[in-house]
Amino acid sequence: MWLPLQSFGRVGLFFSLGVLGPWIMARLWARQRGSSYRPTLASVFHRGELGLVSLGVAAAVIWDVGAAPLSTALIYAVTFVVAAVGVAAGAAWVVIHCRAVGLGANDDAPRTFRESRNLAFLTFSVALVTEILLEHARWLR
Amino acid sequence: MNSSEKVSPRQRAVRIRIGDSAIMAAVVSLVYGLCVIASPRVFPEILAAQFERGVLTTGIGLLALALNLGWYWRIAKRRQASLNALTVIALVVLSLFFTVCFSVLVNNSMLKAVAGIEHTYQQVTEEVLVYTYMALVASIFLPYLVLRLTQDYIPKTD
Repeated sequence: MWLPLQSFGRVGLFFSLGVLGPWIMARLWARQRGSSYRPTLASVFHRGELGLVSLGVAAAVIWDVGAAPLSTALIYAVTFVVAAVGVAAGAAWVVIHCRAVGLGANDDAPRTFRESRNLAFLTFSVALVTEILLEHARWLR
Repeated sequence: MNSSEKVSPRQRAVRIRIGDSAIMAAVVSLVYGLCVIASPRVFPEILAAQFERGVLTTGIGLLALALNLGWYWRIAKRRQASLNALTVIALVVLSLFFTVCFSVLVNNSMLKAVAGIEHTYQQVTEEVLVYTYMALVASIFLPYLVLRLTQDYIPKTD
């Protein structure tokens, strides 16, 4: 058993700042003003904003992969996959924004949140395991 | 169209959503990460041994194919819709295509590594570990992404 604490720390930091931070701030804001509104994760990110957070995580992982001790072809391949996952997650927000603003469409919010949540789960999962593999490469040396 | 001509849910071909395969790819990814954490020396060596035997890419392709077809069948069942033959064929072709693409892209540099031209054995093991992971995630997620982007041009999807 080996514990890649640095990888957990990095991805955990993104999760705290990108997901937990805005949600806690929204709850504190509502409580401070005596509002009965209790924001949930689904209500704070109901327009697919988790996709934007995921795009930021993917960009950070690509940055780390560029400095990894791997062959050039493998670095390009990893960059492509992480970028594809991040862009797909970001597209969840882009599509809902364009439909709402450009077409005036009233989209199904739970479905939009579900899509962006699934893609954010994938991005964070890929980010975590990629960081684990990079830390593993450093650990072996 | 009158009510008798309406298509029943069972006859309707299932429509792929962009987040459909995300859950499966994320779970496979986490399981892979857990395997690395649980056995950081043995797991990479097993993969490197399979790579040297020449069966790793085939294994990745077959695993991705089985997972993708199983997941597509599950989506259709959950939404009470029928399977689209064209989508099934596209899923098979794309799953194998991405696995082969990855292996062609990466194998050349790794074969040099296996031959000991550029890298040490440890580096080869590490490269095989990263290659297997990325090929697996790409072969599961990217076929669904391509299907989502092209399904508007495939007839009989609702």
